Amino acid sequence: MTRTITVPLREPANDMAREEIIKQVAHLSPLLRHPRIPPDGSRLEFEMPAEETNGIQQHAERLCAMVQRSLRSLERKVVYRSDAMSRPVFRGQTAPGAGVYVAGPGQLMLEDVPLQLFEFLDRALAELEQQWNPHPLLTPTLIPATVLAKCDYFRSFPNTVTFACHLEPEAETITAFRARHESKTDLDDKALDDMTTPEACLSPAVCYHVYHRNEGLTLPAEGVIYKVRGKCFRYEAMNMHGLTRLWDFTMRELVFLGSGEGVLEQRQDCVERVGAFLDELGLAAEIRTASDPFYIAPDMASKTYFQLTAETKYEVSALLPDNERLAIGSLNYHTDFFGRAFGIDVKGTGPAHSVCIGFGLERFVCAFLAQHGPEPDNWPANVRQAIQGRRERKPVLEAVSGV
Amino acid sequence: MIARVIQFISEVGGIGALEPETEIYRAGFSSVRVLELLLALEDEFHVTIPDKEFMTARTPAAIAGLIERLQQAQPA
Repeated sequence: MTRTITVPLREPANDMAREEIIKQVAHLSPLLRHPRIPPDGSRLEFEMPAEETNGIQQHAERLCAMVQRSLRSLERKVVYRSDAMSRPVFRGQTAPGAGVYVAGPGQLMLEDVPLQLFEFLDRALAELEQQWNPHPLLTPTLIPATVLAKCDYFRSFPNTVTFACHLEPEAETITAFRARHESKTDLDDKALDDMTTPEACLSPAVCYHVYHRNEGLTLPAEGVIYKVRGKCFRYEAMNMHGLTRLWDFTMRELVFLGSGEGVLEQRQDCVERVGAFLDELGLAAEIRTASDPFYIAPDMASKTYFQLTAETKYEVSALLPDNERLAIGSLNYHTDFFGRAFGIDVKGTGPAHSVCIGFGLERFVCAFLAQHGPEPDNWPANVRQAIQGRRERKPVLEAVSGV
Repeated sequence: MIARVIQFISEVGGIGALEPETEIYRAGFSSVRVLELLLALEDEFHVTIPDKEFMTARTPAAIAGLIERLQQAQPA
């Protein structure tokens, strides 16, 4: 049986407190469902199995008090507002529709129109990135655990890591594993005992590879710019649903390494160009200050406060139906954190500062379909024509052989 | 006052003793710990410190001066 838990808030939660509380309360229990704060901001409500509610009310009260106190009087800053924000239209939905096949928790297959849209956005973002003439880098899907540790990932986001495990390379272990699974349709509960300590993880972001690639180097004074694209993995427990929060997704990133002044100028330039791109797509979205969903730890509130006051993170926040929003990209300034962690210097100025501009392609598809709907006839002409042009083009083999 | 402010900065920031006019961020105080310091000082001195003013007070002397001013303006 399910019970609704109500947590009164000390003062009405503003927009930022509301988002932070909803983001953080998910960490309290994987069984917690549907956290919400009504429009008057007076309370937090969520559902839990009745037999699992012991102590959860007190934990949630403490969390809300901490978030509200730590956010203080901070207000969100909007640095770009697309034209469509003044008249948002929703012709679609966020639940998987035609052409979206749910393969497992947070795992999707795309085909037909959603796939064509995905490919269009991928190409369009690649063209956008090309304006900076970036250096392409092909990266692995795996990332050494030592690299993620240097990125402070195991402290900041331990709950989202996906570990790449394999069996102990011992004939005895492998033979026993094989024998136990002869007629099984799933992994058995002893499988984990047969695994080694993971030396690699599935990469949660593609920019980390860039810092690893430049480890120990001294970069030219003007800095360097990379473009990377790859699969990323973030395990989000109860949050994985539809196209909005995936465990396995595709990310395209532009990474700037250079002086602090240099990379911040480049980020400002990106704000303008990404904003213009949102307008070309007719998307109702804002680029605004945000914070990462740090795991609950003593320094969580401090990190959130730092990100918001220092404006280190801007998110591209698209509107969804029912007053929901979805971050489809972000423009992050990391100060010299990665420069120091990986010993990367810039000639004449010391540790490299970095900025990454990232887009989650499946989320981009989700926001686009929610706003413009599943029918290309209702889409902005430039997108519709680009997709139809490719549909009408003959496949290469067909054109060559004349079949 | 100044001695207690220095003690808080050193404890929260995990850095050595500071002079009143030392720029705390140059002395190794991490910006990520600003909130921790801000909340600790508010609890200790029973004042509400506006974020923007705290960000511009970058030495122990400036922080102590700000707290004293706020104590006079915000009587307990």
